[in-house]
Amino acid sequence: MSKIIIGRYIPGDSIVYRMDPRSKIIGTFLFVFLMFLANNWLTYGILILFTLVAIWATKLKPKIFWDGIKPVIWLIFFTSLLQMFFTSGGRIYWSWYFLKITQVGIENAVYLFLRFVMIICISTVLTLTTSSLQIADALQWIMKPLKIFKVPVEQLSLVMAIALRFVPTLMDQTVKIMNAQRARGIDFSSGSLLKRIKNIIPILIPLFITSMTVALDLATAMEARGYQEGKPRSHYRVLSWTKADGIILGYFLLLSIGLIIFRTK
Amino acid sequence: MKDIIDVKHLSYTYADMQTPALSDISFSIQEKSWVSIVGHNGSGKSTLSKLLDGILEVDFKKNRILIDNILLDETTLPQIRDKIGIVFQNPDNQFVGATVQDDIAFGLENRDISYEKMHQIVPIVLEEVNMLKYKEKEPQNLSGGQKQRVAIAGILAIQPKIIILDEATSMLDPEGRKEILKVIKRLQKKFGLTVLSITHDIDEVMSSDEVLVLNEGNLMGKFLPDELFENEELVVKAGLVPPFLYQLRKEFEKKGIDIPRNLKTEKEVVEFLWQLNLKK
Repeated sequence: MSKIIIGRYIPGDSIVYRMDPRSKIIGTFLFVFLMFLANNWLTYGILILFTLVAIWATKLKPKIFWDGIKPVIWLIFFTSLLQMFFTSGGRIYWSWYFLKITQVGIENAVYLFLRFVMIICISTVLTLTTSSLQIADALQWIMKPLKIFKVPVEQLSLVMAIALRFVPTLMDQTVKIMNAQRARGIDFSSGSLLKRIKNIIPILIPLFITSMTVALDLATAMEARGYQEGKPRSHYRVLSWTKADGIILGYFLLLSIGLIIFRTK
Repeated sequence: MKDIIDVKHLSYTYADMQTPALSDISFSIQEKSWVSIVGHNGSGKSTLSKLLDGILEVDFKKNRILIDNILLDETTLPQIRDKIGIVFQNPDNQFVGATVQDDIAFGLENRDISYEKMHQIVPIVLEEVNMLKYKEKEPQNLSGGQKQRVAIAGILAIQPKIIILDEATSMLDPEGRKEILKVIKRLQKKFGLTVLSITHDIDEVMSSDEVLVLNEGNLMGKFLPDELFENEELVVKAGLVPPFLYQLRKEFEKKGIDIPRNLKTEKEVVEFLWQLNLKK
């Protein structure tokens, strides 16, 4: 579990950490879109440079990013190879029935590989440097325009915040239940697939019941503390734009202009 | 002293139950006093606390609940909740915020308090319960006692007149229990709070001003702690174990030695026992 780096937050302190989560989320989405503007070596070079600067600015060890790519590296290789064998155009280097390696094929494979790695790196920059709470706050801000369509943004964000707050608590619960069932003789790590699935039941049922109890208790506590649905609430946690956010968004503007200028028609 | 809580003819039956959880209860509680509510499991203690705060709804015409001279009904509910803060049993399940300071702010947010004011109040109340240095911490990194102290701070933030402890210390270790009671005792003096404590803890019952005894939904009466522990039948009905001194006195009585009733502390009794042989 702890090996998966995607979606994990590592506390630290650097310019990226101090940035507003909203600009980080918007930036990450923008970056993914911008990636599809790139279609030659120069534009890819610009994007790689940007990615490297972003990684450097987090002041985290580069190895952490490699850890993020490692679990999906075979998927990336496999897609790249497919791209290589099934794209035609340019000079043909090698062919065998329907498989052939061409100049354009190799180029596309490398582009695809880079694209994958960069998207993973940039989204890892976002998740490593932004706590789930900040992400929830930022999403709430981003969802605000949906109020026009009568989407209950306030309630949704409270739901999100409470869900995030209870993830570690329920994780602890799960471990405790698993240990308790182990103490009664259940083996979670061996047996046929069917048997292993059956073994999950003694974890799931108590976990569901606990979640219900927690939900009821929490609802009572919230009500006792004066929560009323739909009543206007103030916010203790307010996001504020910093200078770094201006810089980063300007940076993105330059990046988009650069990509549009240098991409080949 | 005026009465801050006045309850007349309060009954309540849960929807899926045959027997009432509370039947025709009337009592009043003085301002700034510490009142313990005792009784067996299922005697209606928690139901009572939820009724006082309007979390459980009753027919407000038949059941008269007066909190600080405000009659509890649908329209006065928010006012009542400003007057009462409840600390619940399970410290985990009442922590709403993702961090300590967020949790304190939850009650303030609900009351639409301004940003600046909230950021003034939160550090002050955290300092009161000695948790200021933990303000950025997440609940899973706190002990049970610390979580309960945060819950108390969250209540202090809205400046209530009454604090209800709904078995607030029952899931804590002895250390945490002592700490919480000490904190509340201090705050009670400082802010003139009325404390209503549902408890099984003998020491706490001993040190309270008055004790309400509930038995199967019926109110057995309001007693001074001394009165209660002298009455053996009542103590059993209340689901309590008599304190050590009372047990000791009874054992000595069996052997024909009377320990005078006016000796209230262990120290006094020890002094008495020292001198016992000298007199003979």
